[in-house]
Amino acid sequence: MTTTLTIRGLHTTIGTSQILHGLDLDVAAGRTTVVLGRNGVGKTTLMRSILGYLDHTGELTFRGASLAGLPTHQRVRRGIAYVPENRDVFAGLTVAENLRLAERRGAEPRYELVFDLFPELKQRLAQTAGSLSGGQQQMVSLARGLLVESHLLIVDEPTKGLAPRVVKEVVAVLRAVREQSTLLMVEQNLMAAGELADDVVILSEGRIAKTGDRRILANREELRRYLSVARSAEHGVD
Amino acid sequence: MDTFFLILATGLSVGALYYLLASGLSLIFGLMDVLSFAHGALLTFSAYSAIMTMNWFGAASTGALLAAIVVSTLVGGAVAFLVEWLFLRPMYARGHLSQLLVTMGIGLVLIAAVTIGFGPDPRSMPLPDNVSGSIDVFGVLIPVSALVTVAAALLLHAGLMAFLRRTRHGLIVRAGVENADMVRGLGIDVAKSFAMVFTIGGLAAGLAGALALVYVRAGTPHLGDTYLIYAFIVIVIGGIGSLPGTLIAAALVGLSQQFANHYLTGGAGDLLVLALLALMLLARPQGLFGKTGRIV
Amino acid sequence: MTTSRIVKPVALAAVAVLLALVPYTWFPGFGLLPDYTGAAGSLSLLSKVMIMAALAVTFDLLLGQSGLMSFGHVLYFGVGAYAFAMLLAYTSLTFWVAAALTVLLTAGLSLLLSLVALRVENIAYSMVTLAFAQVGAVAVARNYFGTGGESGLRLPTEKIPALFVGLQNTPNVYWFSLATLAVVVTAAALVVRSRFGLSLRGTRDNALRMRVLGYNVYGLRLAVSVVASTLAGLCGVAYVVTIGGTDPDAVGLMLALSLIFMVVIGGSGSLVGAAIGGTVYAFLDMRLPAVGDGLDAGSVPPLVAHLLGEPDLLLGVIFLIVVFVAPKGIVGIAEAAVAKVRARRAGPLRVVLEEDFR
Ligand SMILES: Nc1ncnc2c1ncn2[C@@H]1O[C@H](COP(=O)(O)OP(=O)(O)OP(=O)(O)O)[C@@H](O)[C@H]1O
Ligand SMILES: [Mg+2]
Repeated sequence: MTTTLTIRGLHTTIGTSQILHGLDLDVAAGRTTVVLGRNGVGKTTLMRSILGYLDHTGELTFRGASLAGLPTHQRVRRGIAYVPENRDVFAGLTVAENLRLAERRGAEPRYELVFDLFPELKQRLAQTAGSLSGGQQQMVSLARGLLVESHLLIVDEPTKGLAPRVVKEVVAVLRAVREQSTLLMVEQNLMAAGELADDVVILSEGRIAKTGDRRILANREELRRYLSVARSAEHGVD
Repeated sequence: MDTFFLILATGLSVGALYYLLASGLSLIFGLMDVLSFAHGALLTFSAYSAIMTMNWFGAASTGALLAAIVVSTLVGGAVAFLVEWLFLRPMYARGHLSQLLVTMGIGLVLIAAVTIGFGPDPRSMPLPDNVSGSIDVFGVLIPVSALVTVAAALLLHAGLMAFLRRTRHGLIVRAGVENADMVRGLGIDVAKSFAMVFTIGGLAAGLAGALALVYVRAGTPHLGDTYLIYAFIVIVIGGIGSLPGTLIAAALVGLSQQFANHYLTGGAGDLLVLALLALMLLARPQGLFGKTGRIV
Repeated sequence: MTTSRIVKPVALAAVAVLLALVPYTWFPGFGLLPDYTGAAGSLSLLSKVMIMAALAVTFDLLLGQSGLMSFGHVLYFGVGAYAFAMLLAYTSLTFWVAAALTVLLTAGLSLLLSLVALRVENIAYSMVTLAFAQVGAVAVARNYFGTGGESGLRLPTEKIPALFVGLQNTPNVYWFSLATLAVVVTAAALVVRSRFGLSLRGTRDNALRMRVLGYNVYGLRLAVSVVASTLAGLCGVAYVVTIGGTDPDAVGLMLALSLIFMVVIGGSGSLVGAAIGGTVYAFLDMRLPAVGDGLDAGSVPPLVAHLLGEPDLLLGVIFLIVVFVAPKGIVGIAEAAVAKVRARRAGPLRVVLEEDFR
């Protein structure tokens, strides 16, 4: 089994506080790795470190080459697509403009694929992204991440704050996506995680506390207690 | 009645000068989070290149003035390009304070260069007669200089809006004003846009330098200082990163200032502008056209 | 930490005593001072230097401690100076009453303006404070309200207590400035060491978290603004006493921006650093022109002398050098050096794993 991304001894400091303390992680090619952990343990920090947003030390090897010293945009051009935690759509820009920003020289934009996955967006191309619902914004954000082909798709809590029906839609899309891509995602919704994960990683205090395959998710009650996530957040997925 | 229109014209042309400086600053700040204190000095520095150009031509012809305006604009752009490349770029990772000090340092050096080259006393700008006079517009005498500055500001606005709305670079700038990090996350090198926007701001400041001379007719090493301050006020009132807001605020500030100075008492205009600013902050901290939630 | 709570005040008190003895000394000035140390010219220069140091300390309360990048702090210095000079020039109030009233006035003005300015954050706040200060500068430059315009305002001599008048009383003026510096540093240090100071640093480092924890960030900022401005007003009063009047530079853009430079050159977030920064700046500002003048004698090429005679050029270059070479300022460099020495003495780091505590 090949690994797409290898992380060794990742230390990340934000301001004066160290968030990640020497973290090791392998993301297997063609599989979906789901990261879990209590609020504030550093899941987003891990994703942002991989993307090069945060100063960090340690080795990041992506498809055999080191990412050291590369700025964010070059890491993305190497083939890492990013769908951030709070969707981060450009609210004042139209849906079409949001998508156009994701186009890249030398890569074919896959508009048919995106509109197949999100037929709703096709109707709303001229609408500003800020006027969309949370679920629709999440779709724009995912569509941006999928528009050009990548080797690793990083998705941070795609179902956070969405209505149960929309959670279902998002999970359905990601199920389709995971068939063709390597996925690294944060997902606290255990039902959703259960549907998507091949590998599971649990973070604690800036380190890996536990890794394993999807069977970790079997003991849902225990995990839920540990993560202190409310059950009500998971309605809609079964 | 004539005075009223005259003041209207001066108010608008002062506002136009504010806009020329503020539009660039607003984009620079919106995109890069850099507040450039060098732009006042950039205006001054370019203005002196306009004076030099006029003197080089000898005769104050319209052609010479046009050449001076072009030279001034290009000097502003070139200096801004170099400043961004050599001094600002190493500072992006270092936060506001360092960037601010760098632009302040550059500002001091530019002004000192002007003082060393031309002395601290005012240098007059020779103007062709057809520009220093007034023309009859529907029965009202309007100074040509006012028409020139207002036209320049409107042209710049139209040009910038077209750039922002119709080009990919413009799209990147608009997205970057909202969230530069996310633009990077889509594989785009925002630093290139930074350089471009800073240079555009420099070009606009250079244009403002020449046109400020058309309006005040003499340059001093501190020509740009007051314009810079009012440009800041205009940016805040208009809403940071919004050019239409900046345009309206520039006109508003220019007009209030000139009308109050004339009809109330000298200096009342400055206080009125300040009152406008305070009122705006109390009622709408994000400015006229600024987005809520993005109060920078 | 605990030792520095005692060592620092003692060290500062010792410095104050040494400074108080300067008028009795007669050392050469080595180009830093215009004359021997105890001479009137030197004392008067040192008075101004101490006021700048004090002003920089008041500004550190905003920028260094609270992360408030005000471009308008100079306004309160200027208002302190001008209100005091004008009260003496145009009313029958006595010296000390006018001084007290001035300080109150600065506090009130700061409260009003900060109520508005603090409605916005970050650079918008900077611009707004700058705008406020500029109106003060314009009012002064254009001679509104009898500010005296470009030439400034002279104090009527009969309103100044005799102990501050005349060349032979320069030491008294010097001690007055020193007292101002001492008051400002003490007050600022009390703020920094209090819970209030701790909360301020909290808002500086992470305002959002402080809000979540239930702190009133706006109120904290308002309070520190009023304290810093009031102390700046006091510095303004001392400035008037030192130069016997005021000049428009006291509210100028240049000084407003230079304050930032002072705090950065000294090391942002450290009161002592700010005082050092203010001192360095004041010396540069007042002695650089003399350096240029002194060189005109033909010892260097005329162009170099010409360049050196333009203090803004040197100042601008120094700004750039500081930012590129020493972004953490003088105190930062010193701390890094001390840390290096300590690390060498302490030997290699013993790694303690969290597991050991479980
Ligand atoms: N900009 C910042 N400044 C200071 N501290 C930060 C910053 N961003 C994050 N942190 C801190 O870093 C820690 C990890 O944050 P992170 O966002 O990575 O957590 P997370 O696991 O993604 O949490 P969540 O489940 O809430 O998304 C938190 O304690 C947070 O307070
Ligand atoms: Mg997170």
